[in-house]
Amino acid sequence: MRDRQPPLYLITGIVIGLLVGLFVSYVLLPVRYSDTSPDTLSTEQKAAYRALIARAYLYEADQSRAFSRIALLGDANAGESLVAQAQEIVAAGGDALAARGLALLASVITNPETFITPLASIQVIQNTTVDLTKDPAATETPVPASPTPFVTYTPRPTATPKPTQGTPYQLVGEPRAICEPGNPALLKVYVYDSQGKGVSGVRIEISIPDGGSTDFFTGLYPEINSGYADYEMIAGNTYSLRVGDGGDILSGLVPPQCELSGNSYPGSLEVKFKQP
Amino acid sequence: MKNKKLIGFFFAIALGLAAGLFFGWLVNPPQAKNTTISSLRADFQTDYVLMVARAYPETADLPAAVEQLKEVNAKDPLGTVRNAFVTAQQLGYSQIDLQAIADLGLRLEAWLGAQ
Repeated sequence: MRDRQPPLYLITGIVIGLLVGLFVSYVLLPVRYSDTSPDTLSTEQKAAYRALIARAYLYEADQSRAFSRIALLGDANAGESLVAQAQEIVAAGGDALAARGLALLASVITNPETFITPLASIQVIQNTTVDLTKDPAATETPVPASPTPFVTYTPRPTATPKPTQGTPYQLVGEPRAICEPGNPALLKVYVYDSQGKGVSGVRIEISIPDGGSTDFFTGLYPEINSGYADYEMIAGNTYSLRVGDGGDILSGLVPPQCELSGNSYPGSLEVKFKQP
Repeated sequence: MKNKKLIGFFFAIALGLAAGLFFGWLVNPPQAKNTTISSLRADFQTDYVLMVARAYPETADLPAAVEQLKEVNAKDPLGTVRNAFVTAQQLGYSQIDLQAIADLGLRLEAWLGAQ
């Protein structure tokens, strides 16, 4: 009796075809999606989307809308994502407004009672009205071809929210030296409102050693305080800072000298500001 | 006999290929990830355009706004705003939101015309 051999050439062909088919469908030409939702965006695109949400939040001051948008991104921990991105933007010297918005949103997550005043108003554009009574046949000069005009929309006047300058922040007490061996020399800034609550999203302008100034914002460390911000100082340099718009300049800030076992090292400096 | 085997072999490859493609494209396609803003559903794109309109309210912001709009459609930022406006109307956006999108479109149109 003769054994029936399995058709190996067929099995081999099917396996080869299957592998090629899987390679093509998963690697070479994977399914391209359309009509997707924001949670499927790539990391970079999510960051761009998140920054835009933050900027829009500063102008709209609508935190429920901002949170609905943030929720669409499907972050496991929205607060951490906001803070991390704000810190990245600040470190890279990127869009300061977006960083501020991100910090504010992160702070609102921890303190939902926080409300902000919108930065700017919506501009009311006066559209050119079309005179329908005019006889089109009477037009003598031919109108040159032009691109399709944008859809006409008659805006309605709206109440104009005005940016809040707020009362300038004032220094509370004297800068306090903090000696923490092993830690960098930080300029720790706390900003409080008149009620004593930490205020996030406050811009702090600080002079930098090589000239000029840089900004950083409160609210990037909500786990410490929503009104907290810090800046790493370099030993031997003198700094000046201003908290908020129109605040007084606090100058002559230098890292204090601390000692440990006879060795000196630069310590941190803590300054507190409050609205009167 | 040899030709018959060869034909069978290629037929088997074609069959396997079809099965692989069917599985990878239809039965178990890879999950949507690493997508771009341009692939978002129309309502999300409309909200995106609204955010651009709100986040860049000044004429001086337009170059940055255009860069953001190019994420939706690199070739036609103004068309993106137009489409968003129409979708926003269909979705019943508020007057203020419609105004913001229209304002962005008008500013963009004027700005692009001046380029």
